Formats: sequence, structure tokens, C-alpha cells
Amino acid sequence: MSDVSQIAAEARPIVAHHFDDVEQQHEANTLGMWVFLTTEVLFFGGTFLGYLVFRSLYTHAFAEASRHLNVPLGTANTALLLCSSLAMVLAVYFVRQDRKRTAVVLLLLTAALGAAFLGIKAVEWITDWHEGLVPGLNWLVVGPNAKHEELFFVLYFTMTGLHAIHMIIGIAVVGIAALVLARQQHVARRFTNIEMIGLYWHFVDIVWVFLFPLLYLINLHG
Amino acid sequence: MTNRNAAELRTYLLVFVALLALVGATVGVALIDLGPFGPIVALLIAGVKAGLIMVFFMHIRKTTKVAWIFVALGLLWLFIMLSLTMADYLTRG
Amino acid sequence: MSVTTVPPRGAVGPAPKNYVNVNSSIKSWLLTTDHKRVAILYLISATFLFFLGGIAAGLVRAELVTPAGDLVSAETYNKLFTMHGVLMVFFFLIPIVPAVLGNFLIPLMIGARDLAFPRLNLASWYVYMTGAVVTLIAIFTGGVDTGWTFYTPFSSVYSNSAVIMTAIGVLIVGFSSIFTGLNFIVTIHKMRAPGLTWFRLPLFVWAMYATSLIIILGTPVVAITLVLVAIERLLGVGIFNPVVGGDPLLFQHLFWFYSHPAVYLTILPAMGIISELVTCFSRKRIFGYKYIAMSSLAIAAYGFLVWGHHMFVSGQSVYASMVFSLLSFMVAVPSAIKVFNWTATLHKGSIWLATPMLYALGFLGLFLIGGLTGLFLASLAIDVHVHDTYFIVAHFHYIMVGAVVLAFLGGLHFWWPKITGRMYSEKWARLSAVVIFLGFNLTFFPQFIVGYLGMPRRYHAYAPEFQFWNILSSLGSVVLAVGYFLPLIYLLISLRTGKRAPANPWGATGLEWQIPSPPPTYNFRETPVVTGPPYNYSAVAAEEAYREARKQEGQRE
Repeated sequence: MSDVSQIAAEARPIVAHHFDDVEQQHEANTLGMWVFLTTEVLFFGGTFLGYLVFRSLYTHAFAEASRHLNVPLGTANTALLLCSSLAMVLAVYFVRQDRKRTAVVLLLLTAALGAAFLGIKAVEWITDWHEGLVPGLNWLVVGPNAKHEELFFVLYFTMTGLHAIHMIIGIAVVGIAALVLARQQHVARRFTNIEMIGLYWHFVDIVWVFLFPLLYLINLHG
Repeated sequence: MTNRNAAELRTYLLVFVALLALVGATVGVALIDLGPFGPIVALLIAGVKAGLIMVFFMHIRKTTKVAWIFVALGLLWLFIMLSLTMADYLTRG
Repeated sequence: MSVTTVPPRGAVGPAPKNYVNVNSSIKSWLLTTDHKRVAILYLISATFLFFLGGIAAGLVRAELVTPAGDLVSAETYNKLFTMHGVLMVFFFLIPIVPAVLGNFLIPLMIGARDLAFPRLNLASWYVYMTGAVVTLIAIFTGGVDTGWTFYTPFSSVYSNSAVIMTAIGVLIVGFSSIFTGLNFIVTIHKMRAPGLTWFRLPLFVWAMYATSLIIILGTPVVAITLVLVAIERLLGVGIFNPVVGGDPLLFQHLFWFYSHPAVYLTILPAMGIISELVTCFSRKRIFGYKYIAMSSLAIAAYGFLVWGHHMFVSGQSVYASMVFSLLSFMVAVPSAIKVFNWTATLHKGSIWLATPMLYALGFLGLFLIGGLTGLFLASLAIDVHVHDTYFIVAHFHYIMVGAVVLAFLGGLHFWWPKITGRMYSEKWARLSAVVIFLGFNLTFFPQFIVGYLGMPRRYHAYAPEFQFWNILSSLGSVVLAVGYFLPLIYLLISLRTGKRAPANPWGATGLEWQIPSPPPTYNFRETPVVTGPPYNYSAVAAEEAYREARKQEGQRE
């Protein structure tokens, strides 16, 4: 049984002209979102390939470079993103229940947590700048492995940067969705849209779940 | 609120707690020297977290079965890209 | 195949409401979400870019008439072949069949009212146009000289041309094909008419499905690759630049992970068209339907396992090269399965040599030559000898131009009556099919020879002993250019003076032939119900439509 069928009849979404019914529409949208996320896996996959190649070539330098990162802040950020995912999944739940006020508050909370994540990220990047850890622009690390440590930071900034761009898009979309829902009589009408936004949000969360140990947690003991 | 709804909300909270626990675990593991198994364990934990998010937050079990195919395709293709490329790097003379 | 019958219409009187005449304002075209109109938008823009890329090719061939680099400078020559490659690969070959014929036909073939995401479909055209404009600006405000392959570290460090802007243009156009692929996948999964099971789908739809898989699994990788090139170039950091610790081979892995499958994503749609043409003009159910359908998927999957054969001489591990060589031989199997099945379909068929069939037969010949020379190149020792020579150039032009463009033109002629509601001049069409086939072979066959003799590609000057073959090739390119202009002219003329096309001018099976030509905006008045397998050319209705079509043809001539 699909989720749309649980929605009360008067709050069911409107069916676009080229679909037969609300179920077909919902399934098409869901599949479309999953296919899109598949493309995202391969998109980030290119950077993971670069990471894998260079980490296997320059294992020691990567561990060294990774120790420049701030693990407590990274951990806090991971927790923040997981909180935002919880808020998102609850928002989807309350949209399906047609509970407008709760849903809108939860969406705003999701966006706020995402923004807090970006805030912490920005603090980290600024610190990196002051410590001369930005390849190409302000790179002050010296030593035998400096070149290969620079490679780590190129990947670090590329991966976290791409992730941050995805977060910014996510925050904007979630924020707009909250505003749109606030004007609706039956928020369950928009269930499919909110569910799709949720899928995207959780996916961006998953990307971070992998980035965190790969970038921050290489050989902390060493 | 029906029982079914209460159970759904409880699941979300439990999964959330599990995810936070796994964040702790992954940091903890990084502090121990596991040699070559360090990154493997870290990736396993991340995989479990991703699985929890996909199953419980993204409801992949409830969506159309085709979605599974595309998740599997994405991961398989990522694996192809990583493994065939590494086949080059690891066998260079 | 199925159901709804359409009353025959006479050639007189005003045409009933269809997707073209429903609203003729420019705005209605630019804001359309009708998949048929989006297909027309793509057809116009991709044709324009094709001729632009063709002009670059013409200048390249003109330069190569003489051994000395006298017509253009080396730098200009590099920019010309890069412009040719970038425009043809990314803006013509990759989108042409999916975005034009696929867009137009998939909903009609599966009995749907539109693609799953009509607005995304329109957006993909705007994204395509944005990518095209950005790339053209890059080309005309400085040009780019890296070749369409953007090899690092030349592209990311040393080239003094508009690499970043071109890369951004290609990146943007990549998103348009992702949108198209995603749309097709969801549409084919979720919008098929009742009774239209997977093994009742037309083979063109199977081919488009396989193509879409390649698009969504490969294109994101080239996108991130170009992002990395741009980052390296902008910030002067090393990802691919060995001077600062990077690895140029990593670029080649990433690039060919997409760009080799990209060859299959141009040829698979072409194969889909050929499957439709061969069966229709042999008046026979296609031989080995399931094998052809499955071989499309097999090509899509295998295509991702062979990219390393572009890197045999680049310093890749010799063991990896051996694996890639073996896998490259294996990818020939599903292609061969298709060719055998098409040939078996022709066997004892009643062959009707109408224009689309001429193109289909031409395709078979050129694809065979292109495919077999591909096997030469897959074997390590021979590849080392002919790598970066004109042998390679000839090989991939046989596949990507010979096969793909012939198939596209065959498909365009086959569905032109459906798309426009007009018949073109069969006489001119047959003539130009022959001219294109001859011109193509005259252009590219000499390149096999001159390449085997050792002439390297991508130089504006060459040793005098190669001149004879180059003159032949350049002569051929003139014939080919004439061949390409002919359809442009007589097809446009047919829009004004062509005879009104009946619903089914070829007596073909398939849902798209059961609605009027051109189709009404909503495609099907009622959702059709499919009751049997496709290509039932022995059915009474198909026989009757065929007899009628031959009678009409006789009257036209």
C-alpha cells in the first residue's frame, strides 16, 4: 500500500492531466527522485574515486593532513545533520496527517539545522584559511609531504564544497516548501512534493555520513 | 492518534538514537589502532547508518520496487568505477 | 498489435486539430510542455549545431588537401577540430535520437499522453540551449584547442584557450541529457498502456531505455570530471597535474568512464531505429525479438567495463590493459547478436526499398565496418601501432557518423509523415540516401588506409606521401556535405507542398501509426489496450495497410 492512499480523500493531491490516477503520479515522482539520487551517487562518486586513488598512493600524507581538521566540530555537524533528518522525516509524517502547523514548524526547523551545519562549516573553513590550509590560494604547509597533503585538502574542499552547495539548495527548497505549505488549506495535497524534498535531504545527509569518517577520522590514534 | 501512527513515530526516534550512537562509535573506533581494518570498519559503520536512513527515513521498503534497482545500479556502477580504476593503480609496475 | 482504428482521411479540406496547428504563436512553442513540440525544438536546434560542427569539419578537410599547413595556422586548426568534436559529440550525436525521436515517439509507442515529467522535458531543452550558447560563446571568443577529450594537464594547466567556459557548457548540456534520461526511465516504467508488457514494447523503446540507463549512470561522472578540471585550472592546484602531485591518468579514467559508454549511448538509439525499420520494410516480424531487446541492456552494461582501451599507450598498468582488451572483445558479442538478427529478419522478407530502408541497409554495412575495425583496436598489439592515427578517426566516424547519422536520417524519414503530416519526395530522398552513403565512404575509407600507413591525427600538416588519400577524403567530404544539404531542402519543401500523409503510410505496426498524422495534442483519444506482441506484420490489418501504402506510393511516383 502506498503512502498516498492513506491520505484522506478531500486532501488528496491533484492529478496532472497525463497521469491516470494519484497512485501512478506518486509512483512516477518517487521513482524519478530515486533515479535522480542515483545520478547523484555517481556525481559524488567521481570525487570518491579521486580520494581512493590518492589515499592509496599517499596514505601517510593523507593521515597527516587529516589531523589538521577539527574533529569535535565535525562530529557536532554530523549530529546536527542527523537531527535535521529526523525533523524532515517528522515533517513528512505530519504533512501526510494534514497537520499544517506542526509540519511547517518542522520544515523550518530542518532548514534552521541545515543552516547551523553550514555555519559551523564556515567557521571550519575560515580557520583553515588562517592556518594556511587552502590549496592554491593560501597554502603554508611545508615539509616532505606538503604536496600530497595539499592534494588531501583539494579533495576536502571539493567534497565538502559540493556537499555544501547541495545543502544550500536543500535549505532553500525546504524553506520555500514551508512558506508554500503555510498558505495551503490541506497540506496533504502537497504530500508527494514534501516527500520528494525529504528524499533529497536524507540523501545529502547520507553523503555527509560517508564524508565525515573519510575526511576527519583517518588514524586519529597515530 | 492510532497505534500504527504511534509506532511509526517511535520508530523514527529509535532510529535517530541509533544513528547518534553510531556517530559515537565511528569516532571511538577512529581512536583505536585497527591497522588496515580502520577504514573498513569506518565505512561499514557509515554503510549501516546509510542503510538505516534509507530504510526508515526514506521509506525505500514502501516505495516502488524499481527504486531498489536504481539504488543497486548506482552502487554497483560506483563499485565498477572504483574497482576497475584501482585495478590499474594497484598493478602498475 | 492493438485496437483503436482511425477513419481514413482524404487529402482535401482543412487538417483537423493536431499538436502543430492547435496554437501557432511563438510563445506557445517556447512554453510548451507537449513532448512532441519539445522534440521539434530539439530537432531545429540540434540540426543548426550539426551544420555548425559540419562547417568546422569542412575547414579541417580543406586544410588537409595539401600536406603543408597553409590554409589555417596550427592553433586555428586545433580549435577547429575541437569545435567540430565538441559540437558533434555533445550537442548533436548524444541528444539527437533520444531528444528528437525518443521524445516524440516514446509516449506514442507506449500509449501515454506525455512523458512522466513534461515540464522537466521542456526544462531540458532550455538547459541544452544554455549549454549550447555558453559553448558557442567560448568557441567564438577565443576558441578551445584541447580536443573534445579535454586531456589534462594540457587542458587544466597549459592550454591558453577558453577551456573553463567550454567545460561549463558541456557540463550544462550534460544535465539536459540527464533530465531526458530520467524522464524516459520513469515514463517507460510507469506510463505504459494496459497490456503493454515489457516484452511487447517496441525495440526502439527498449533501446531508449538502455540509452537512458547509460545517461544516468555515466553523465554525472563526466560532470564531476569537468568540475575537477575547472578547479585545477582556476586555482592552480594538482588533481591531474603531475607537477603538483596529481595524476593525469586519473582524468582519463574518469573521462572515459563516461565517454566510452557515450559511444554506446549514441549507437543504441540508432540500433533501436534500425530494429523498427528492418522489420517494417521486410514485412516480417523481427527475428529474435528478445535477444535484440536484451542485447541493448547488455551493451549498456558492458559499455561501462571497457573504458581502459582508450588508455593502452598512456602508462596504464599492462595487466589492466589486458583485462580491458578482453572485455572490449566481449562487448562485440551483443552488437553482433543484433546484426545477425537484423540479417535474419531480412532473409526471405519481402524487401521494400523505400528511403528509410535504404538508410537501414546503409547502416548495416557501415556499422559492420566500424564494429569490426573496433575489434582490431581492442587487441593490444594492433592498437599500439594505430593509436592516435587516422585509423582511429575512421573507425569512430564509421560508428558515430556512418551508423548513427544514417540511422537517424532513416528514422527521420520513417517518422517524418507522422511528425509533420506530410510526405516528402521519395525520388530526392532515395537519391540523397545514396549520395550520403557514397560520400561517407569516400570520406572515411581512405582514412583507414592513411591511418594504417601511419598518418597521425590532430596535425594540420602531414608528410607528402599521404596526400593522395587526403585528397580523396576531402573530395568525399564535399559529396557528403551535398548529401546532408539535400534532405534539409526537400524535407523543408515537403512541409509546404508535400502530399498529406495518411495515418499509416508504411503499413507499419505500432501504436504511433494508429493515430492521425500529425498526432493530436493528447495523442490518444482513449488509452489503447495492447493485446499481443509487436511487429505482427502477418496480421490482416497490417497486410491491408501495406497494400494501401504501396498503392499510394505508386500514385506518388
